Amino acid sequence: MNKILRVDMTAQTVTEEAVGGQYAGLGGRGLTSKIVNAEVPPLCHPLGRENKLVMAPGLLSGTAAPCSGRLSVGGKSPLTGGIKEANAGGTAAQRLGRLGIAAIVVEGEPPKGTLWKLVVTKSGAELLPASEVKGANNYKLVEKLTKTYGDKVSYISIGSAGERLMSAASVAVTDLENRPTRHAGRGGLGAVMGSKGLKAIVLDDKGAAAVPVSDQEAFKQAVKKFSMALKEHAVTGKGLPTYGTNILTNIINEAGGFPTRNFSEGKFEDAAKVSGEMQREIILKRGGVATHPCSRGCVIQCSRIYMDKNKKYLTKGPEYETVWANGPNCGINDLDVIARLDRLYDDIGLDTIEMGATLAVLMESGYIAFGDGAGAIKIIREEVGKATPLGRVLGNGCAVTGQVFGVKRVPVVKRQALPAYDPRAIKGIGVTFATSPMGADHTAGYSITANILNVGGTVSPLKTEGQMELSRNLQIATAAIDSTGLCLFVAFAVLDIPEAFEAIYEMINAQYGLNLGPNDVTALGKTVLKAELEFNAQAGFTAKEDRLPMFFETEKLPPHNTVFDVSHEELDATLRF
Amino acid sequence: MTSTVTVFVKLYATLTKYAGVIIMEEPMQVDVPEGSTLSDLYTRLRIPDDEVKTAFVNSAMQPPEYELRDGDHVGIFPPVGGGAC
Ligand code: SF4
Repeated sequence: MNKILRVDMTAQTVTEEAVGGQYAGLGGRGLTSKIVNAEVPPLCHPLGRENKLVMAPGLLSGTAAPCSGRLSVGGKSPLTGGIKEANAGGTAAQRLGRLGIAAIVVEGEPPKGTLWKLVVTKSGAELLPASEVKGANNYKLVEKLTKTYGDKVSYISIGSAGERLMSAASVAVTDLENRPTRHAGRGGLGAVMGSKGLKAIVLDDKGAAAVPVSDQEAFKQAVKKFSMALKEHAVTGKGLPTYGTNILTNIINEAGGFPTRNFSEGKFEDAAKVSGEMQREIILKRGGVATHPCSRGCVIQCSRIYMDKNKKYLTKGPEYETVWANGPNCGINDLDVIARLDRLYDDIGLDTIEMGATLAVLMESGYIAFGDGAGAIKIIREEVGKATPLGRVLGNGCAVTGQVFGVKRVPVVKRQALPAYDPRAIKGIGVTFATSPMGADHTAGYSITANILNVGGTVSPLKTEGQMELSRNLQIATAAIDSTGLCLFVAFAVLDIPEAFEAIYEMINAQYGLNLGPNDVTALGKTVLKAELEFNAQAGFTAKEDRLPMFFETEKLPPHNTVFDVSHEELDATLRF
Repeated sequence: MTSTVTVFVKLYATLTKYAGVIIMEEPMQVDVPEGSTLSDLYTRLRIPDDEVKTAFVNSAMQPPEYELRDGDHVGIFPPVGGGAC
């Protein structure tokens, strides 16, 4: 990967430049965050011409490295006002890797009212008018584009939410079945894409040469070592392939950390009805697919395909966070309702976590009742989907909705909704939620590993001791993994099996002819975080943004009846390294 | 005559096969001799030790040596992991 595509929306030109200088040797989140920090004025309006939308495959994307198909999308977030990297699976990162593209940087601002698509092939890239797909949602959009470009390409797109500049809008990526089911969901990057007037990117890698690998033999060995570790570890080799990510519902519920009805309780009475075990049974009974890769070369295969009651395709298997946000967090106990919401979100182009948390806050206000699945579906389809004034409020996320409806319990950090773990019962994840430069984001430092899953050691979830170190180390390691293109789920194996960790830098070394060791991985993670923290500081973030909403410190959560009590000093020290 | 304690047990994911079901929606009631530990409970349910990764008693994680008390709610898990990324 040796070139950066600069897409200037003001002049509608595309130029290529070689990757060099401060961007050399970077990929994925490392590259998006470095570019955003270096080139975007931190005080700019996220929807203005000065912001940039950056998309980067990881260092290993496009090669035979297992699970290396993650695409990082970055920019200044309209939701948080800080730096953002959201990543997605699907097929795009592998194609970008094969096309030799390290990043696409979308900049400037198009003439008002115009809409564009970027078509990238082996021989170049061009911007074309896309007014014929104006207002289309993701499924229809992909269907239309497929008529012209076929299904052997990748589509990166926004639905109507992105065009309407909603802060919960996602960037969709097509999967192996050419469906827009994989989203860079968090932080409203779909709205940034919408503000650039860019409706879709078509990636066609036909005829592209294989990604050059410096030492083929060493690469093969490292790939083998990595695959074996992923197959051997019980989580990546068995748990995730069998039950998918939603296997977590039961264990987080048993641990009393399963936020229920807008974070008012830690256990949901009907958890079994929405669990991964139940989801698997429904999928198998209806002829869906229960073990499935979201991108080429994934050996874990946590993805699935969900059919409706008539055994017709409805959506991908909703992920754990989606199930939680739109299920128990809203008092909803019906997987079919959750799957229909998931389909709507993918289609309109919305973050499933933000929207579930938003619905729960709306329910808390009494506008609709907790448990009202039909009401939730109607509101998303008729209000958010049609961008009515109410729909626009909701589509701008949990914080805005809480403010508009006068709700006090609004679970956000840096205005981004908390994912599916209550920090009062699982304190390590609370440290990550509070301190990650991304806002509340479980993937930024997944302390659930040692707090609940007994992976990578054990740190008691209810105590404060050890949580800061746990979160810090995970945040550093994650920033590095997010730069490789590897799916974060490899971390379950990497934390427990030393060979899996070795294999990561061995694959990078063999591909690029480098000589990296374990310390370089840590150093990379730190550099990435530092760039992100620097951007946020200049955007005006201070220590007070690194706090959970106060109700987590004052309202006790049943069944443990605990509060979040990691000290502010410890929170402030978490990312001081 | 030794007295017994009654506990309520839920098995999850791949462990449900030891209860002969696919999904356990309701806990099963198990009587064990007083003084029994979680580990004894695994033996009693014929769950091989190495298949148990984590157990919760009344929502708190407990080691195999934990001594069961009357009315305890026990949830037993194989290795699991997930989330969405
Ligand atoms: S583990 Fe799951 S999310 Fe990750 S690449 Fe594989 S299928 Fe996609």
